[in-house]
Amino acid sequence: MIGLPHYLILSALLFSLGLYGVLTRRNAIGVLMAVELMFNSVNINLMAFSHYMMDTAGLAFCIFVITVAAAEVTVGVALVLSVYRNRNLIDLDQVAELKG
Amino acid sequence: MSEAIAFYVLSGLVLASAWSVVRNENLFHAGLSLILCFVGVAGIYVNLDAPFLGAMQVLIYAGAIAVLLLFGFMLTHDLMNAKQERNQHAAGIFAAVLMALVLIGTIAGAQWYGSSGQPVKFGVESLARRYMQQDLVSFEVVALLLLASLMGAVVIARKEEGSRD
Amino acid sequence: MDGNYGYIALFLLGGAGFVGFNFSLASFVTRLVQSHRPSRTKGLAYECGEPPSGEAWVQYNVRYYLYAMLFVIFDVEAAYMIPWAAEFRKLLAELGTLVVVEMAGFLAILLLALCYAWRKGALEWT
Repeated sequence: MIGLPHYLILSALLFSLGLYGVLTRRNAIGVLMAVELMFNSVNINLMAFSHYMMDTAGLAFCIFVITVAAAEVTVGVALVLSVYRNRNLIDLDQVAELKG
Repeated sequence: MSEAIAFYVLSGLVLASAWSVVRNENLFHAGLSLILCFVGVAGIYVNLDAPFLGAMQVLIYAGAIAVLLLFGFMLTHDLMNAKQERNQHAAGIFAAVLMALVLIGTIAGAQWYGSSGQPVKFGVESLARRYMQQDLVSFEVVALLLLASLMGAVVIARKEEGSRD
Repeated sequence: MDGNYGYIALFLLGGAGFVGFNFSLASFVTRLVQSHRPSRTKGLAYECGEPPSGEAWVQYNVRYYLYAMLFVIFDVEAAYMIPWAAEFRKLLAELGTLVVVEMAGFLAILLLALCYAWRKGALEWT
């Protein structure tokens, strides 16, 4: 029988994988992909609680999280493109300095 | 029973493709695995009685966000040498394993009570009612957020394009 | 979970099986009948008989990104309009014209976004 802890453990594993990706990827687009994995794990968490606690708040929040993720990705990829065009860099370690 | 089978198959799919997303040397293949992962998560939502959220997951995540990320990758790289190096490998594994252990330990140690409320239907009706009544302010703020992100992205992406070509 | 979603899983399995079966059959048959004599000219990319010039992968123009971004923004909008539209009659009977006003405010803000992108020239190709 599948219960709430099963979904929570799936979400925890997905979050840890996303964290690993964020820490080890050097390409900015790769980091954004790993961040999307973390967003998805949070959504699974919200939806699992919503399902097992019989409350629609989690569903509504999932939609809001998806919206915020879409807004984040549009601006994030635009920033990456801007940095790439101005300095020809994609490696996040080399973009660490803010001096123009 | 079918719920359990679907859960295990879908979580296997999600975790395997997520592993490919973070580990694949070719970032383009990682992006394609990301789409597979999003579809698997949509299946998880359907398993949780939220088919509308699953549809939105496919429409927005797999259909739009993943494509945008692949576009961003194609604009900044040539695909022939898409090989990626990585850094902080040991530290990354350490942090991720620590995170997983803490989370799973907490989940396993906690006392989960069964649901006490009335069974609700996770259809579009409850969602529409929430948007129009309870979450009205969030609903309008979402439009502002989308406006702001579009403005920001247009300004950032189009800046000094004329000097370039 | 409703039983109907089993059919979708069946469809997915059937599709994957069809592709996998045909792909492996085709590659197996090809291996049986093909002769393997590669040369440099054969390995060139086919461009209608012309000798190819330049790389096959070019860097894509940033304008593609602007279109994709606009698509994402208005795709997200659908997630809010679909529940509203699906339950419009019931909500209208219950809450009156307020539901129309609320959605009009939402759409007005997003229309502003479209106008902004238009004014900035994000919709123009040249």
